[in-house]
Formats: sequence, C-alpha cells, structure tokens
Amino acid sequence: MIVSAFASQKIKEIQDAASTLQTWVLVMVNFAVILGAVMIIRAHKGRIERRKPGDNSWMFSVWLIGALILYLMLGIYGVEVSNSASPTRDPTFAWIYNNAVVSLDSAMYSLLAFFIASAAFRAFKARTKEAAVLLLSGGAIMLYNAPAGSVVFGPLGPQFVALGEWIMNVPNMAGFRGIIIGAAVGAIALGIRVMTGRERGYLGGGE
Amino acid sequence: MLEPGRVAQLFFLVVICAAVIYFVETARRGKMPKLRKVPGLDAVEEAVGRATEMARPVVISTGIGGLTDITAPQTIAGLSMVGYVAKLCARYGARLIAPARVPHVLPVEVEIVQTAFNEEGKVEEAARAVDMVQYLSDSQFAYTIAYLGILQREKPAAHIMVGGYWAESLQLAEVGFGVGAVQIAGTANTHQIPFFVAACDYSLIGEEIYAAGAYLSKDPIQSGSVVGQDMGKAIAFILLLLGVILSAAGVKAFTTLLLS
Repeated sequence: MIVSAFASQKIKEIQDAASTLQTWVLVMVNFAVILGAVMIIRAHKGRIERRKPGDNSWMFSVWLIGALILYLMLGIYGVEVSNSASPTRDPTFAWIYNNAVVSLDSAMYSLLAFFIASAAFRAFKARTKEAAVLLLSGGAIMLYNAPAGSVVFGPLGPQFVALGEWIMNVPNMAGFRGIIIGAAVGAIALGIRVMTGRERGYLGGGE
Repeated sequence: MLEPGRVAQLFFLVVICAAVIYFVETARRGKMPKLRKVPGLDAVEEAVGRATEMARPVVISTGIGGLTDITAPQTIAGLSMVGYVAKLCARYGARLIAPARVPHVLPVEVEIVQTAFNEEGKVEEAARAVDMVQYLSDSQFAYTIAYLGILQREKPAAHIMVGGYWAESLQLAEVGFGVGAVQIAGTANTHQIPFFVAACDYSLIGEEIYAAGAYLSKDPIQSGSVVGQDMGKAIAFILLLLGVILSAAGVKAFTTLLLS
C-alpha cells in the first residue's frame, strides 16, 4: 500500500495489486458487521434473562432485538424486490431510514449546542492569565461568527471582523498546523513501531 | 517510476523513518532516552486506583474510527491504552467497560482485554472479556446515545477516551464530567481537541496519543522511537523556517522542490 501511494499511477500492476488488497480488507471488515450484530443480540439476550422484578429496562432490550431483526429482514427484502445492491431503493426501508434514523441522528447532533454552552460556561472563567486570553479570544470569535457581532460594535464593526479573521487565520491556524504536523510525524513513528513489532500494546501485551 | 508531486514526500518519509530507526538502535545499545512527563498518561493509574477505591467502573473507548482508514493510527493508539488500562483493572480488581463502535475493532479489543487479564493471572475474569467490551452501534449518534446511557447508569469513577473522535467528543466528555468521573482524553482530530481540553481533567494533544504506548511501556527501545519522532518534528520545523524565509525573499525554488 505504501508503494502504491508513491508509485506512478501509470504502473497498472502496482495500482491493481493495491486495489485487490483494499477489496480483501473490505470483505473482511464487512464480515465483522455480522459479528457486531451477534454481539448485540447476545448482550441484550443476557439482559432479558437476568431481568429483576420491578426493573422494566429489559423491555428496551426486547425492543432493540425486535427492531434489529425486523430492519434486517426489511433490508434483505428491499434488496430482493428492488433488484439492487442497495436496500434504500426499497421505499419502506428508505421511509423508516429517513424518518427515524436520520431524524434521531439530527436530534442527537443538535444537542451538541447545549453541551458546548455548558462546557464553555466552565472553560470561559478568567481564573488565570491564559484563561483570560481564552475568554477574550473566544468571546471575539463568538461575536465574529454571530450575525449581530459587527452591528454590536457599530462603526468599529469592520475592524472587529478583521480581528476575528486574524485570530482564526493566524494564531488559531498556526496552532492547528503545529498539532497536525506533530500528529503526522507521531503516526509515522507509531507505524514503524507497529510494523517492526516493537509496539504490541494494541495486541494486549507490550508492558 | 514515482508519482509527480510525491518525490519530496517520499524523501522526507524515508528521512523520518531513518531517524526513528536510528534512535531505536541507539536505545538498544544502552543509551536510554529521557522522555518528558505527560501528566495525562501518568494520571491513568491514579484514575483506575480511584475507581477501585470507589467501587465504580472504569469506562474506556477508542473513538469511532476503524483500522482500515486514515484514522487507524489513532485507533491503534487507543487500543494500546485499552491494553494498559485493562491490565491495571485486572491488577486492582476494577470493573472495566469498553464501549465499541466499529465491528472490526470489536474482536481486536476483546482479545486485548482477554490477554491483559490473562497476563495478570485473572483467568476467570479474562473469560468475561466479551462482556466487558460492549458493541453498541455502527451509527455515530446511536453509539453516542448508548454510550451516554452507560455513563449515566454506571457512573464510572474513571473515563478514558483515546482515539479518533468527532462530534460526539464533547457530549461524552460533558456527561462524563456530570457523573463525576476523572477524565483523560486524547485525539489527533484538531477540531475536537479544544472540547477535550475544556471538559476533561487531562488531555493528550495530537502526537501525545501516539507516544502513549511507548511512554506507558517504559521500554527504552520504544522510547527511542519517540526521540526519533521529535527529530521528525525538528526536520519539519527547519523546513517551515526555510520555506518562510526563502518565500519572503522571493526565492521560489525551495517551494518548487518540496512540491516535486
């Protein structure tokens, strides 16, 4: 794979070999999805079996297993009926996906705004000089992004927008790039340790 | 033979690899490198000890990245941390919960936990590794909500997150804070690092997660590779400095060379 990243795209043999390897990985990874489903059913079956009087949470496990099996069946049926590799071509499958899965995902994502507010409330307290800089730059960036930000500062609005842009493009970008460079070099070092068998922590050993 | 635009990339990849291998060999010959303290990594044992004393579980996750894409190094770094924390849990008798999102990471994680418990002589607990690592969902936010449920119900005393995290990072960290867990979190995803810094007790920033395995293992040879990693950063810094000076002076040859 490393060779294919640097070898000329015109050398078909190398690119074909890399493509074949990627297909193998794809096949193996997709087999793991079956394992995931089995693990979920196993875990929730255990919860149903261990249910205690007065605790009705086991009903959620019944609901989960039922929904999993039902949606799986619907997907297989969708593939068969629509004569396509994608179950989303089946209108029933697509309807449930668009109206349940997508909506629930969006709801969870939008909750992030409240988590940001509570984290910002704790983080933006000027207890130290560094925290005060964070508070000021954070406040400036919030006002810079808010539509009302430039209006609040009246005639100084354009300068304020320029300040916001400068914070984003210079100190913020410099910090981010430093982290990215460090992380890229760190990933190379980790790759060498893993490929030479020096790091075995991810196999459970190595201490 | 080589793809145009990648010659300089290949050259510097070889240089950085050579630096890492050189310092690994130097360490092997007995010249022990000294690594700077990483408070986030030193706090892991303390956090597991706290969980043991409070009889509350330790929750650890490796993020939502897999092992087949660009986030694989972050997941591997997270798995190294799982191995270390599982060993500590086995040693101290703390309960371990490891929520998993990616199906193909699941068997690897189960194996890691099993090996860690076996190595500590906890054979009976090792057989229950399959219950400690809980597969939740492949969907990002279904995984998140199930994970949040675990945090709320189990009220862990230690919550460790090392790996590739995206929008769920702050949700997990905030709920972890809410239940009173000591939180140690690290990722190389730059947009999520500020969230971890704001919400967690200890943060591992970018490259620190990749050095975690070497740092925690206390193995001088692995530590040598971290010195090589620092040399790589020094090379990047010199290139940046040269690029800035020469570009400011109007010399384009250096940039052209790097883009070759």
